[in-house]
Amino acid sequence: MELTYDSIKEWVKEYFDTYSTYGQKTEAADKMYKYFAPDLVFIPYIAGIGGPKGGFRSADEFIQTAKSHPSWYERLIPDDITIDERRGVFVALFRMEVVDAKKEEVAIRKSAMAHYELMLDEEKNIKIKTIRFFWEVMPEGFKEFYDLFGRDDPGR
Amino acid sequence: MEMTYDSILAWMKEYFDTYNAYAQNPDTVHKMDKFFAPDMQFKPYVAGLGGPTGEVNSREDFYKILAGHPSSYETFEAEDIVIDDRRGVVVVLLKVQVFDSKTNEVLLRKSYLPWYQLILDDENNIKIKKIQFFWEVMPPGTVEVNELFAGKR
Repeated sequence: MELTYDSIKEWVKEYFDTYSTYGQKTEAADKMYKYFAPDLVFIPYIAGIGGPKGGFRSADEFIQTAKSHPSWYERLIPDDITIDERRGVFVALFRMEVVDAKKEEVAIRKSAMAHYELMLDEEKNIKIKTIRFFWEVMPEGFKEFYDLFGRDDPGR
Repeated sequence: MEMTYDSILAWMKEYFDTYNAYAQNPDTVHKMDKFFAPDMQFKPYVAGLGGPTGEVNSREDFYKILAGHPSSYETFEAEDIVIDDRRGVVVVLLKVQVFDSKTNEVLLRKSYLPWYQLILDDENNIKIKKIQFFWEVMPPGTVEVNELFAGKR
């Protein structure tokens, strides 16, 4: 595959669908290896989940964490995709729905924006190399996912 | 001007230079007219700035915010500029510093991630039509930008 505008656009849709459907299930989360470089870097610009010096430094760490929170899962619904074809970078503005797995109810709705650096691996497959993650700052007193479900880090 | 990748990149650099130099002074804020459509919209995904339903819907109202905090000012350094020239959309990862206006002491360092919808006006000048705005969530106890702008230290 080449890193063209249209191939990136299609790939991004597939990535979000796969993450929301499989990325947090113990038996299926390994499907996410298709999308991540082994040395993936995830940088959260959110103090409550580690801040820019925290986050993850490998696909393994990301995927293991994403499937380790059975009490909740999140759905990511992209509203806008900004694609820089020349540099192989995209930014997604998306809605996040954090679902209470026991009740099957949406516990949190908010928006987020993330910046993704892409690369082609040796077999010319698109992979995410770096994710820089921002989310909506909610009003004081709002309970984030870690307030509701404990201190598991998010996987996305 | 056409909206090509390179023209957008050069324009964004000029925009940030102009912002840093003039946007936060009531005497010079109208230099930003070059960059904003009159009906530009600012949509902050930050509750302390009004949240996504507390949009600003004109550049004149936006200027009241930009030039309305004389006790401190912010500077932007573009760390990464993402350009979707097909759609005229740009996202910028910004390193931000907030300074005390009297002492020039740095009061806060953080990152922003604004999204910009660009248009061409009737004279083919690039203008910002809409900004969707996210910022870094700082640790509890941090005096935030909006609080610093309101004079809190």
